[in-house]
Amino acid sequence: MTSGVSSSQVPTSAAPAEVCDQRTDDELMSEARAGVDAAFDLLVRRHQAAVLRVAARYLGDAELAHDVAQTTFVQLFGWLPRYQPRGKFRAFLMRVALRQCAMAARTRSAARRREDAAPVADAGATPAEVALERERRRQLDRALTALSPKLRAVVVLRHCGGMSYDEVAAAMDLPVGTVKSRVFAALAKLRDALEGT
Amino acid sequence: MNDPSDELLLRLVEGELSHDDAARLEAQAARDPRVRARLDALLALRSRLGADPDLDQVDLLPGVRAALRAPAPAPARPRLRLIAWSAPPAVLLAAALAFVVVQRRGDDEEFRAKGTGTAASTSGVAVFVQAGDRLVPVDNAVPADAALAFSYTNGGAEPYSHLMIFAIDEARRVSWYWPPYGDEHTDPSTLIAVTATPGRDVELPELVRHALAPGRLTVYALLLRRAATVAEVEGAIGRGVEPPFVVDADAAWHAVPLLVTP
Repeated sequence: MTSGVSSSQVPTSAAPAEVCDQRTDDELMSEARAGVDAAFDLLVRRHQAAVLRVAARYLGDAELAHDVAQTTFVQLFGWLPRYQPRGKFRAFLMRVALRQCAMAARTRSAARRREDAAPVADAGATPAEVALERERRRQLDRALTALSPKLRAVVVLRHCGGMSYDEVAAAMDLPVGTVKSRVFAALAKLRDALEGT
Repeated sequence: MNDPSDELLLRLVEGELSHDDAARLEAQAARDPRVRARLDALLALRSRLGADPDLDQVDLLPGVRAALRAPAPAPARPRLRLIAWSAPPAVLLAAALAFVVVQRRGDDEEFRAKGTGTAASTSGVAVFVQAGDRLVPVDNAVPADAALAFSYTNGGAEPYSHLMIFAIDEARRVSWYWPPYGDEHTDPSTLIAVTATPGRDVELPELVRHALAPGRLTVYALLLRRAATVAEVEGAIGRGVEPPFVVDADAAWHAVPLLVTP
């Protein structure tokens, strides 16, 4: 039995009615394949926040992450006729997302666009708080991009994507034990890097 | 009481401790501000990784729907035809030869040429070279500094999930095209095959240039049902095994022989 401060609770951006929908991802994929647009839309809204966070933290570039996330869902649509429902939708989706990230990282013509992008301000935040939060996120992105790709991928899937160890293992084709050790190593390195800033 | 190790704190944050161990560590953190601070730093890090107010407000759906409604980009096949028809007959022939399609590899089968990309072909690869501001199908020969691009076909009842494209020269040096691998500091065991999209003549979007050695060069495209690593392929080549070797029992290998000119 495990316990402690325990698992990540990653927010989704889905509207409440969509959050409450009980259909599984595989069921929605089947409906979408049958031509039900609303089913595909629900999948996008259910998973877009996680895909965006994974892409943003993997690439260290929110603008580029937006493009990557959008392309990921367009690719997902292309997979509809071929998708095999095996209860591993999120692992499948994140594989597609990581693939898009790798391609984007390779070209990265829009590198550092995020530096000029204004963050969405919290209505109650002061300008100083907004600036501080922006700087913290830059530091986090720098620390993440300093990680090796193998450590970065597992930690963003686990903590930015809100995936279980089993899901990360399925997405990366790695043993669960390897995923755990890489997540631990990544967190330790990130903490050290951020403490040094 | 001793300071808890980093690993113990990480396991607590990751929910990997037993109930009793977690309670003991929490109690120690409550008594010792230094332990509390170490634990809080990890919790804050986890929290920052898991939330991004800027991103969490973004709705991708309108953009996704717009992209799906937009007219599909000109499919690769017509474009290939256009280029081919505008080319001289020798280039046409070379383009046809370069589109090598082989059947799925059985346990003890060698390469089996099936045709030249007929409608019945379920998988294949085509190689293009940059010529000015456009791409043309490769001729038999490519210059040593050629920038290459690829398209592939991944059809049939069960399309493949992953793809690797690499080239081996006479000295058994390997040049990787997909996945990208040019940084010697990258661990090849972390580089996995790219996702293969089902379809015909799926274009890979980038030109890739390697400094190729003059002489014979074979470009291999490997369609897989799992995300094999670069290290697996390089390991087999390093052991002197000739392609097609077993990376995935159900893999499809495609080979395009070329001559690199100085």
